[in-house]
Amino acid sequence: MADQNAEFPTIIGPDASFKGEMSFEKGLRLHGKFEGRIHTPGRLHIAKEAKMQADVEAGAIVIEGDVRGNLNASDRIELKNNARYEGDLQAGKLVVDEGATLIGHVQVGPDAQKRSGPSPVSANRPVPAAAAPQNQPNQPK
Amino acid sequence: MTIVCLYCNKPQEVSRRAVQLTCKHCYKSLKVEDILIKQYEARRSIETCGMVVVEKRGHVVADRILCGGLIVRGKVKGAVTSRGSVLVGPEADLIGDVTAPALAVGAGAVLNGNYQIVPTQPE
Repeated sequence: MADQNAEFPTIIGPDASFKGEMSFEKGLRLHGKFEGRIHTPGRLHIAKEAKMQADVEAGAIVIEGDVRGNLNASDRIELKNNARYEGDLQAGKLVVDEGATLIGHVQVGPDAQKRSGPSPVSANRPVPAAAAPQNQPNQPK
Repeated sequence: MTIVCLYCNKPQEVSRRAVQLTCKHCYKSLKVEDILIKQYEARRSIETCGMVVVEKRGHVVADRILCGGLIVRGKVKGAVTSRGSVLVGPEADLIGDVTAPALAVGAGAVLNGNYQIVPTQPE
């Protein structure tokens, strides 16, 4: 219990609901409702009974509950078996347990944070279309 | 064994040795065999009730992949609709939209596309 509190010093309880923007350093465990934006270098854990509609930038995100919104994790996103997620996600690593629901656009990989183009086709090119210069000097003529 | 038609989603009994058959409900041609891809292949579509396995040196570019299950150890670019799990191995690339009941991703895999991972409800 003490370990959990050290990892997640901030807890939003099951009977609490929060609307707005939140930032924290270490970790947040969400049991209630959250609507808005979250910005943290730490961990975010959305518990089974929690409901969240938010845009999140975090180090790591673990989802067990119901989440809508765009998620961006520098390290990893984990969807546990009861998770239901709708939205666009970007992460270095993705773990999806059997039984989890995921609907949305996914960008996963070491370069996922750098990529910005929403189209899968453009992101597959060696040089993303947005970053490519108009006339490339090293192209054979 | 029982297979489910890729097109009409109706089940039917087939011989364990069957490779290809016609669906008795919708009369479409169905492949039952597993497809193993070990090198670069560009195809309009890949359709089988079996597994599609893309090996480490395999690279598939297809408009659509309709399969019973998908294992990617190499690279795949195309829209995937799988009746079974999609497994993306470590260091594998899967670029394109994916519809499947389950997804497993190895460390270092690259995914990019629109994903619909919705578990099938038991009947």
